[in-house]
Amino acid sequence: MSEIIVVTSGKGGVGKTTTTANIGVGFAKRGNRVVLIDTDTGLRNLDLLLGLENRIMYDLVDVVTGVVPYKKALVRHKKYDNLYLLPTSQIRDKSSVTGEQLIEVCNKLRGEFDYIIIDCPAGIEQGFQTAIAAADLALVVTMPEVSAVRDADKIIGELNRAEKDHIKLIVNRIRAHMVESGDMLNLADINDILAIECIGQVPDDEMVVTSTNRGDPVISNKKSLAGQAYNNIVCRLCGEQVPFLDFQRGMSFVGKIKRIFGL
Amino acid sequence: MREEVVFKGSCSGLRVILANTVTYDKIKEMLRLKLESSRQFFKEGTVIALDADWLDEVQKQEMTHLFSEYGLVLTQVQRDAIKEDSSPEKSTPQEDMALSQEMADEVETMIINQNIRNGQEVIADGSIVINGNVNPGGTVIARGNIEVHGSCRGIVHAGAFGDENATVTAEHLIPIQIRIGTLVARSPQVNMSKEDAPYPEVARAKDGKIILEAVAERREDNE
Repeated sequence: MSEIIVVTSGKGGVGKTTTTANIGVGFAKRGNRVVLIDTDTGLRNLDLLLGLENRIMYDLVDVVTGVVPYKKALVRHKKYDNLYLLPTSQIRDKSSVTGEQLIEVCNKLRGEFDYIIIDCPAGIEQGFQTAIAAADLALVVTMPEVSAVRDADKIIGELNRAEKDHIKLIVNRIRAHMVESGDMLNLADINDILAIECIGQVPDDEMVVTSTNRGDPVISNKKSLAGQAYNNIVCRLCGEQVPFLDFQRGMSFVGKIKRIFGL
Repeated sequence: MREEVVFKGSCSGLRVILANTVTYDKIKEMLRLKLESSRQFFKEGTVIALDADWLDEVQKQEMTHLFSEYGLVLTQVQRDAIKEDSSPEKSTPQEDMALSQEMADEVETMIINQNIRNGQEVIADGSIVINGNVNPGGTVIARGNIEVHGSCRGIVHAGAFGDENATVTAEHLIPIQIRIGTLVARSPQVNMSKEDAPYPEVARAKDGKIILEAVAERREDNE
């Protein structure tokens, strides 16, 4: 039975699309059949992260309006054979797709794919309502920053209201030295506020930017700490017990000493 | 034809009864129409009791908002059933003390077994006990006391109708604002951590100011 996962956050720029792309690749590498649906109509980016922009012929809006069957709109990834993208329109806006329409598309996809991952737009308006409509599981992405945690909290409230009770948290773009010095929220406080199960802590990593520009998600880069963190998230989503990464690896010697003495 | 939205008057005041034969959205729409058409009919500040057990807390809050848009005050119909799910901690003497006496006699305590998240608001005609956190951006307003069995980081307003004997108690009391009666105190710094308030504290009004004291200490004082 396939699982529908929505990746959401409320705030923009915390890494929803990056997370979607990386988790998608992660599942595909494990041999699952995966389709990624971009619902950020008008501001689509997922195709760029996967390096598939030049292969798009039709989009989600064409599918829901019945212009083409969904198979025609799916774009197969150049590197991972069982990873597909269902892109959305760059010309239309969020009102072009409703929740019911997305559920219908997902129901058709269910038979053919193991994982359907939906990239949600920022905000809590119609685009968000559409994106979450079909989801079995919601991944809330946040970062150790006051506004991102605030918005994640609001999103969790909205998800509960929509009776989506299966919610998990990913804390993205963590800068170990800033958390250590108290300039970023610490992870214990984030977990205390949001009070949902955390399945991933991803460090801020320059390689995310370079791989985004190259159109190949960072998860396939074994040297990248963020890539490893995403890999761990995929493992945890598959039910494996994986310990969290130790970000102190990159910390200064003095920082480690301070930590030992609890300073 | 049966009406889904019925206003009823009785000796105990006005009451609005919402039938669960149609969806919540439909009810909301009908209610809005009704309120719109009776703008002149209800006097501003009229208190109306909501009789609709099938609504969840959030929907009840939405109803309260809707009524307040028309200058009306919505309260919950009091039922004995609510008493039953009161938490066991509630009966300890220490906590009973925290309840302002007159309040405890008159109105029931609202018990909420969930987190109050950013953008959510709870308003009660009596005291409120929250078994969960009050997050930043969340608001809790009570005529009586507020007690949070968790971290309190949002805005809390106890004694919202002017009772300065009301108190706010929390396991970790680090709210953005505490209001008691007409007094306001704001957090000394932004983004306080749980470690800034490691033990339970109670906020009360004293000499026109809001003060915070440790709950344990207070118990010693009284003994």
